[in-house]
Amino acid sequence: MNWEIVIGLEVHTQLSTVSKIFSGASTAFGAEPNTQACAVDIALPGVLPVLNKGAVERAIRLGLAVGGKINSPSIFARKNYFYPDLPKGYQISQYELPIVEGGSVLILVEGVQKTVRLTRAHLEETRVNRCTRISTA
Amino acid sequence: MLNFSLKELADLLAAKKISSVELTTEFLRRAQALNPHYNAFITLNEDLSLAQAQAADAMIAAGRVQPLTGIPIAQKDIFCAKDWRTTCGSKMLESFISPYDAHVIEQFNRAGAVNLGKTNMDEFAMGSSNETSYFGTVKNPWDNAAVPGGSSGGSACAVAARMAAAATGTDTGGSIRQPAALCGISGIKPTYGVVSRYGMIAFASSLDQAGPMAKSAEDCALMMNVMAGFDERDSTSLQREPENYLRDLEQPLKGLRIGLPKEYFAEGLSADVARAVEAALAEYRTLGATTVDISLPNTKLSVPVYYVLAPAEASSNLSRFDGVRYGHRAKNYGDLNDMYSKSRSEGFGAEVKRRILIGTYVLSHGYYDAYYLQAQKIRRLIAQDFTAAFQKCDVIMGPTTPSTAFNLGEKSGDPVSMYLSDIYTIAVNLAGLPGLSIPCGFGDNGRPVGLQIIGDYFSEAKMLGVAHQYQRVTDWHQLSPKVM
Repeated sequence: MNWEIVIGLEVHTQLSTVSKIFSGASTAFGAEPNTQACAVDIALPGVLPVLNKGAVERAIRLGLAVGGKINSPSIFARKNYFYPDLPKGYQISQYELPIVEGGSVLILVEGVQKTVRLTRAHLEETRVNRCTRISTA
Repeated sequence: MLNFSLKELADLLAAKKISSVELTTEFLRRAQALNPHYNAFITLNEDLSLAQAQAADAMIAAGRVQPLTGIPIAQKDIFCAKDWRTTCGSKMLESFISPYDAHVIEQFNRAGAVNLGKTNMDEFAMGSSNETSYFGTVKNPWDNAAVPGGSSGGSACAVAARMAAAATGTDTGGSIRQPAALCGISGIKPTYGVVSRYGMIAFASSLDQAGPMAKSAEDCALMMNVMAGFDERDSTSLQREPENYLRDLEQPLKGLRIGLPKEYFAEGLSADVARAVEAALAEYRTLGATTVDISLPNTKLSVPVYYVLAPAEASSNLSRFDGVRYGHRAKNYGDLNDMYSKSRSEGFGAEVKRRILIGTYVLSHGYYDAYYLQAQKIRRLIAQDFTAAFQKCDVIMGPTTPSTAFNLGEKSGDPVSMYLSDIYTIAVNLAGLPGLSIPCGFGDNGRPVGLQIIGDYFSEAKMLGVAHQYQRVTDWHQLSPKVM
């Protein structure tokens, strides 16, 4: 029997923005604990997320670099589950219409050029932090 | 003085005939005396209120007077207010002291208004009678056997019984207009996006909207001038030029076309409410308006659609109350899941649990398409009904509620019967439109009747003018119940 190996990767990348994806709190590395967590991050009653424009711009740049389709509109969705490090009880992520769909990355393996096709790249928060996520297949 | 309009109180303060400390003290004394009986306030905090009154007096002395400077306003306990206990009517937040101000609170603070206290409400704004509050029921000041309506029942009671000069409310399916109607006061739910939701504890985010509850349309207009405005912390806040909501108050009504939806005057409407509303419409015709029959054919679908969408949003919004960082946590528990389960079981009341369960169900895999998506489509149809109607009329009028205030306990055991009491108000939230209720008489049982005025998007100023013109020639809004 002949088997074909198909490997999919899910890659999380932290963006270089100076503030978080849904709040104005700083992302600076190495600060004292709890000094960069604002009311939105700890999900106090009544707070609301506001999308970081810089994060969207970086995701679009990535999409253009890999030749993907930039979705407009693009939709954010809540992924609901309980966990102690998930203050709101849901993660804001993307499901339908992620910011980037398709595209590809060319790599050289032992002198042979290979194409890695991308399924999607979407924006999401992680913990009280943020990253983009690229799934390839 | 307790019966004075906001304008009259502002004039007294500006002329230094009374200080804010004196005015605030007078309202506080009345609230403290009446509250044990009516339960309109969850929290009164004399020190915080008087500190604000002193600051207001300093502003007035320095000549920095704005229209509401120094006037005591009751705030619904859904708005986070720094240093104030903010409970949202729930055991879950019984001891939560907010470290920050909601946008609405900030706006009142900037205007120099005084926070008189935090008013009672249905738990997490889920209810139409104020009976789901963890802090006990509120009595209707017109008839102590009756409910004040909900969810902003404490605010309605406080204004009706003259315990506050005015109050704030929030309206997800009628929670400003229905208690305003049942307590004989005026209240407006603005167009979705006009008032920032930042710091207002979320129930159903796509429907929630804050607005004023006061003695008259004119008072509501003054409150709107403070509450409305763009806020970058709420992504659904609309970036528009600031409006003066007083601007159309003196507009004559000649030529105004009033649409009367046949579905709002059909089976289910009490005869006494119909009579009071018809009399108000006759008054409007005398003032030069004409009436035209219209239809909102999907009205009957609004209640079922609402009870899919609102619980869906609530089930997600309320998941932050997990006992981890703030709020109620069970005393004894085993593992993590047991802590969540016990904390939420103990912290939430029956109606909140019912809606979390419904919401979780309709969003779950396999049911999402059948319930949530279908409901979203019908929501669009309901909004289109109004768009079509506004081709034929300038404003829509009808009863705010099918009956006058029901008795305490009358519907609390029958959720569907309770839900149907919001049949005339819910569609307005689903469409994102502004809606207003003003008193227009009394029912056979002596309980107030509300006239609802629905306007097109961003027509709040016009609607307030339409209401004010009626209040110029009638005195329903000036009547207050005999208390205690």
